[in-house]
Amino acid sequence: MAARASGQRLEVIARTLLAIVGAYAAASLVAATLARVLPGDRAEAALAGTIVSFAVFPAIVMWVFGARRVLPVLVSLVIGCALLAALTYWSITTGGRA
Amino acid sequence: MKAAFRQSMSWLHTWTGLLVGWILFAVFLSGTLAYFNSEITLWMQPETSQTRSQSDAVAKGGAWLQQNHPDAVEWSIFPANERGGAVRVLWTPPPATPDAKPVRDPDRDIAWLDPNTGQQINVRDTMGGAFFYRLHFDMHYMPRIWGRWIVGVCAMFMFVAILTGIVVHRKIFTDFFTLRFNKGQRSWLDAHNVVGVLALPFHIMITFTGFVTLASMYMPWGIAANFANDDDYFKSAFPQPEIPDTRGAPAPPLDLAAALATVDARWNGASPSSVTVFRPADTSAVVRMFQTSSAQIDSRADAIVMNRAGEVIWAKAGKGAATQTFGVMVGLHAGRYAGPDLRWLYFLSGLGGTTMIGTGLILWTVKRKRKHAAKSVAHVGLRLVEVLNTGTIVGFPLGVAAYFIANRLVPLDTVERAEAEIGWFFAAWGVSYIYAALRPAPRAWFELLAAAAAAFAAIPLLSAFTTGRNLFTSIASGDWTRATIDFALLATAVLFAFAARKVAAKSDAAPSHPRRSREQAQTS
Repeated sequence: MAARASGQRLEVIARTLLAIVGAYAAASLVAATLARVLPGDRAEAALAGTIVSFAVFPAIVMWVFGARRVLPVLVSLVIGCALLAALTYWSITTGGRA
Repeated sequence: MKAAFRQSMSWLHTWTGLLVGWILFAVFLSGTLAYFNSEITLWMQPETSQTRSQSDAVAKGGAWLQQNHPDAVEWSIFPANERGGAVRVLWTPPPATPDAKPVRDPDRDIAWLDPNTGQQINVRDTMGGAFFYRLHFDMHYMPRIWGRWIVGVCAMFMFVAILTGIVVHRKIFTDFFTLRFNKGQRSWLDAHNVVGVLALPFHIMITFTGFVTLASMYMPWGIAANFANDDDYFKSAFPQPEIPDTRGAPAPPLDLAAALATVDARWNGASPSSVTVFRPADTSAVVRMFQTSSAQIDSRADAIVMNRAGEVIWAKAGKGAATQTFGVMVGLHAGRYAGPDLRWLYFLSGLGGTTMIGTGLILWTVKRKRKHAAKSVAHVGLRLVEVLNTGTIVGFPLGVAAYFIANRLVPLDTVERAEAEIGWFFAAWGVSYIYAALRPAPRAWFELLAAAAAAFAAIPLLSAFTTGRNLFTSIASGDWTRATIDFALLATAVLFAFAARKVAAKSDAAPSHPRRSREQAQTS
């Protein structure tokens, strides 16, 4: 019983950390990637990406807490973030910044 | 699976809401009051009359500077909008020697004018309604950047709490019409649901656009991806008027009439909200005007630069879709565009949000009190939440009352007078927590509610004795803004008196009820 309670507590802490760090990382990378890939003026694209990122954040938080098991969420988040980061990195190194 | 999802969302809703509920309550209530910031400032500066025409107030400011500071190297005029009063004028006196750099003394080179007579007046030093506006996102007694991050993090908790609240809430439309009174926990839940659902689009809009107002601070990575430094981004996204600095020959101090005629035509009658004249006594004089933000939803108002003859030498370029979306979102949040009806709707929705947070906080304790009463164990966490609830939900309004009272009682020649008024606000609010911690819960609720009722009822009376204005003179002179505020203060007093009576009736009835008396014994 006590072991189960402490296991639950650990999982809540793990999910909380993943929700905060994961959601901010994902939202930041969505903002950055959209800023790179959206067509048109650079400032416009940056602002559009930034606005969208505020909707990404709570969606990820709910996903992290709503999923039955936390590990698949962690894996998907890491893969998703890595892909977005790679795309942004590649775009900046080849296209440069203003 | 679906039930499990709802359950986890319910858990998330409870804890995101509770952890930052007290800060959110203060943020929501201060933001709600800030919708009437100009009106509150007008009430807090009884020395001024209400602005009838903002453009005319600018012209009056220009005329006063022309007459009193014709040799200044720079003038600025900040009229209040038509909801407010006094005009603020600033100037930079000419340097002692022609080569020296002109310097403005912030304490001396400033004057306040009545917007309708154009005469200089002595308004009391107060932050007025702007205090609530700043408190809403800067907090106080801490660096601004800290306050903004704290509010931002809490707002994200709020956003998650709203979205999970929708998931948890099964019967949104049925509950829309369900409000059962005097049923304990069920009534608190009904109240929480009704105010939450009634203004749900407002809650979602206001929380989301709240992030957008400080977007580049909370989420700088979109900009970082495209710009090597922030300045380049801001220059590109929000180009500022350029002021030519070539000097001409001495000339009589500038008359604003030509520039005002130009903007009147260009802006379809919308007024300027901020006017700066560079080198007013030179042929090279330049006038820069920003358009009042009540002219359109977009918060990024138009700007224009004119020469001495009122000819446009710089105008703002058209905006892109994202910049316009951004401006409209910020505008929707701040509501500066709103006329009187819509402003009241904003205010009521804000009160609804504040009530949603307050009832949510109370619901947390009501639920757990029943559980713990059944097990008859005292609970430190429950007691802590109860003290914080009482100290915030009644303490913050009590602070507001103290702020208004201080405005009438703090001597006019006090050094740092505006800050002294704010000190009263935080003192009353802070003492509420101590009081709530020292008294048993139902007594603390009753006594603080009664104190708030008395304090709000006292303000219009105090105001009548300490200023030349009272409710009757305000009505007689058609000063509806000040009269409405006096009425609102009295209505608030009645509301708190009603709440105090409710609490008293409840705790008197309690000992006859076995479960309740046990619960009272632990909380005391």
